[in-house]
Amino acid sequence: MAVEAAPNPVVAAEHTSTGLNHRKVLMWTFLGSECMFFASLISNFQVQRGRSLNGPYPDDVINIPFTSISTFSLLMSSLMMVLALAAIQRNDVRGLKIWLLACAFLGTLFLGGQFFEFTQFVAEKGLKLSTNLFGASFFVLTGFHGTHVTIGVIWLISLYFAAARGRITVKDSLSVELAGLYWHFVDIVWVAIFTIVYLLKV
Amino acid sequence: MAATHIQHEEHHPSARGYVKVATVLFVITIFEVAVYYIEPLRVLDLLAPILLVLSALKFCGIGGWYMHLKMDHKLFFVFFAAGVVLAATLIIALMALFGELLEPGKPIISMNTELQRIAASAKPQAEEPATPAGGLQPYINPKDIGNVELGREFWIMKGCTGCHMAPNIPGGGQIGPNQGHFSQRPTIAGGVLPNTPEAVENWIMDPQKYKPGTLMPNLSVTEQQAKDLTAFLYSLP
Repeated sequence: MAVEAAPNPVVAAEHTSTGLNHRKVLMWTFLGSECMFFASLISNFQVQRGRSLNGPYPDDVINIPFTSISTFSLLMSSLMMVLALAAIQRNDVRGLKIWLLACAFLGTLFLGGQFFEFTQFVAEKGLKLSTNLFGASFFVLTGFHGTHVTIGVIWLISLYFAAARGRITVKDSLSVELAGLYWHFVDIVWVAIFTIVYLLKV
Repeated sequence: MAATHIQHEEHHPSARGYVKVATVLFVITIFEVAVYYIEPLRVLDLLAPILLVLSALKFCGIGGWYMHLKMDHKLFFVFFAAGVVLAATLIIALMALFGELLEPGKPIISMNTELQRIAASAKPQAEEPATPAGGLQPYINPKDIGNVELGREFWIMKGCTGCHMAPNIPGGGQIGPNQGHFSQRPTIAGGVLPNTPEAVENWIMDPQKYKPGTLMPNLSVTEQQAKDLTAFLYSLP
């Protein structure tokens, strides 16, 4: 039943009432709830916008060229992720490993950029979590996003090791797909943050 | 096995398809950063709408192709879209509630502030000039400077009470001077400026300009807000 909606062999074997794989449904509902999580942090940032009583203000600290580069690396990591999925769907484990590593590397590059940015804000510009409303809402929003990227990188690296031990074949492509969904979601959130926090800072 | 494999190929884009999507996303991002540097768009207030449309396109690109929402079962789309719609509604509703949507930067007047205002205006001496005759300074009617009531609201809302005490205002810190009998002072800003309404307004708008290193912060008040705050200060008994 409902096999037409279930291209994956694992999905077909499950016989769920919706015909959809449980893990995938779980992932999508989780991502739906994550939308609400980030919405609360973005709302907080938007409502506090321009209400800081003392500096540093967004204009004093934000470096658009630098953040554009980390944005590119996160965007390109999403491409690596889908290429990894396409590889395992062709049962190309070697390709999977290469693209997973590339994706984890670009994610780590993004994290390094964020670490550098935070360090610079705190040490050189004197913007801390407790400095003003901008500092509080900025660090909480981007910090939680960075935490999500960190979890994603750990996930990708564990998939890499599983693949290296031969535990991932074409039958397990759903495991890669789920990690990919999470990873793309983190990228989508950054699309929103980059626009709202960085480009629309004034 | 072979059958499902073929089905996969139909369902998900090929590697080449993914690269095409990546190219589009890459170009949109370049465009976004470029738009940021185009000055006239800012003046025309077009920056925000353009950037929001561009990021929505990126959102759809990643969601539709990379996350396969375009090809996958509709139920996945419903799960995610419900979250996104709720999220967007929450952001817009909160921004509207705090006045950030239509009148950005407008002070938030909370119920608490409103109650304090009513309590303060119930006391008659707050409205009348303190000591019209016999003081050191010439008498200036606060109402000629600005709106005393609005000034009182800004005083509370901008957090002036964090450092200053003022008559009939609850609380107040001791970092800056107590502002009682303000109109009778010969000078302000620790003797740097004469006590005239114009000097007080300029001082409030940019304290660092007149006394570098002062603890008094720049509160980013507008000229009208500075006038109202000055009117409030001059009305203090």
